[in-house]
Amino acid sequence: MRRVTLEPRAEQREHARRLGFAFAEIAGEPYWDETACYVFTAEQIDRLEAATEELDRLCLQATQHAIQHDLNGPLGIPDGAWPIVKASWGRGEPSLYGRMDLRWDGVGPPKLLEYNADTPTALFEAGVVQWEWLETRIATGAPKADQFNAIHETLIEAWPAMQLPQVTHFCCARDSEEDKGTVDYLRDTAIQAGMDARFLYMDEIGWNGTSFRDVEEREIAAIFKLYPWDWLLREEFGRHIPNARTRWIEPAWRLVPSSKAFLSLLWHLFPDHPNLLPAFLEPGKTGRPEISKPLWGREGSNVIAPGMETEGPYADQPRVWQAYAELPRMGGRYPVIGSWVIGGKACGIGIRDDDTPITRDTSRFVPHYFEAA
Amino acid sequence: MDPTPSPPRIRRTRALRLVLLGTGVAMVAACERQPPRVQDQTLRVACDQARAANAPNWREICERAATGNSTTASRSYFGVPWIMGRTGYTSGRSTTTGGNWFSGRTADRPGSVSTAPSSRGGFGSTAGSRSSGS
Repeated sequence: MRRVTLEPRAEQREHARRLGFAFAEIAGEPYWDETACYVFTAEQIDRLEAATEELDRLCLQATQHAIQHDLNGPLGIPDGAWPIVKASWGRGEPSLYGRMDLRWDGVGPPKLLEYNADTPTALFEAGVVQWEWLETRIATGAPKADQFNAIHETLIEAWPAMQLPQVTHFCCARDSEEDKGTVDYLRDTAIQAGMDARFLYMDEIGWNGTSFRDVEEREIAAIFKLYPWDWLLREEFGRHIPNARTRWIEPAWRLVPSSKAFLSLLWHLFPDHPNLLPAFLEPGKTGRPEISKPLWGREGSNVIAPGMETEGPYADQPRVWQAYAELPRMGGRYPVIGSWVIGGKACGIGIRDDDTPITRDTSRFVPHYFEAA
Repeated sequence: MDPTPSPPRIRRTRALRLVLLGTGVAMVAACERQPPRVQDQTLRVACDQARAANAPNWREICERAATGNSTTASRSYFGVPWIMGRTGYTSGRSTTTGGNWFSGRTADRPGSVSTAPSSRGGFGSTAGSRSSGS
């Protein structure tokens, strides 16, 4: 695994526009960055894929354990939400997707930093934009190469297995081009899978006393929400969720692996597993330098690592302490590998890098390829 | 113990297609290259097509068609047949629900279910400066 600097394509913005990639820049700053790329060998990609599938297996086992032993307290899941979580697991509601953030430098086993099991983003850029980047580079004379990327087709294959009603709604909060773009991409794949995928904003969801309704007063039978469960449950309509028939995607049981306390449960159940880092619900137990993260933090906010502390709105939350494994430094940047599990399959990666060892919402998405064996 | 690696992933044969993203954006860009009067007409067509296709930005396109270019042509937008066919609408307002049609309230659309209006706004309050993605 190495970082290589490149000359960006001359028509970079036109490529983004044609794809409908509306957030190639975020808040005036570049997000998509093709001045470099990461290069892997085929053997390295195999290892990433195998590690991701192994971690997914561990996560499902640990979720089962948490539900069986009512570990909602240590996981930081409110008592009121627990019946919803258990019912969702009991009904066997399938998950669509998740993104495991891995620390890796191409040597040794990849390590799970955290699991974005509820509202992962960076999906469209991983599934489509970086593929189009590779295709156009090869078409203009770059050496042939491959990419660990079956995200798009795996999504299309995964929708039917979700067994959703023909009309399924998709929603996110207003005012985030990135969230809207991600949801629209998911709608795109759902439409290709034959579904009637309708959009509405979170604040447009209606409640009529017995059911959730869309803006046309149709019952919402199933809804994909790019909106965290921990937010949903504490908002005004959250109390109606147990009383409605609406099916939510991701399902409520994904609250379990979404809690960063889940990292400590994984370590407890699978100590010394090569793809895990020691993690505990109190400081000083790893025997190493530690990073502490709020249980429901996002985008690298309120993280405390050796010599670093980030700001954010989650300072008052309980924390997990994880052995600090600094991201590798390549070309002056710190990459984190987001490894996608869709429909239970490891199917691709996307890499974000930053000029600090903490990946934040200002980190940049950098494409990758691998050299065929 | 690292699990046994699976065979290499060869993806050179991917045929990747988007049916929704990109389309609406391209329509707006095409409109912007045309003179104002034609632009109004084109925007109306774009609105019509985008809405029929349920394009992600159809509301924005239609909003621009309706108000973005303050010419006579654009103001007469609400008279085009596809909106006339739906009862209860004047100047983009639903007399049935009191809601703006841009919000998609089309209670008289075939196949819809008419009920007492739901209360709204009970979700979405945590968002704002916090991105929901991660």
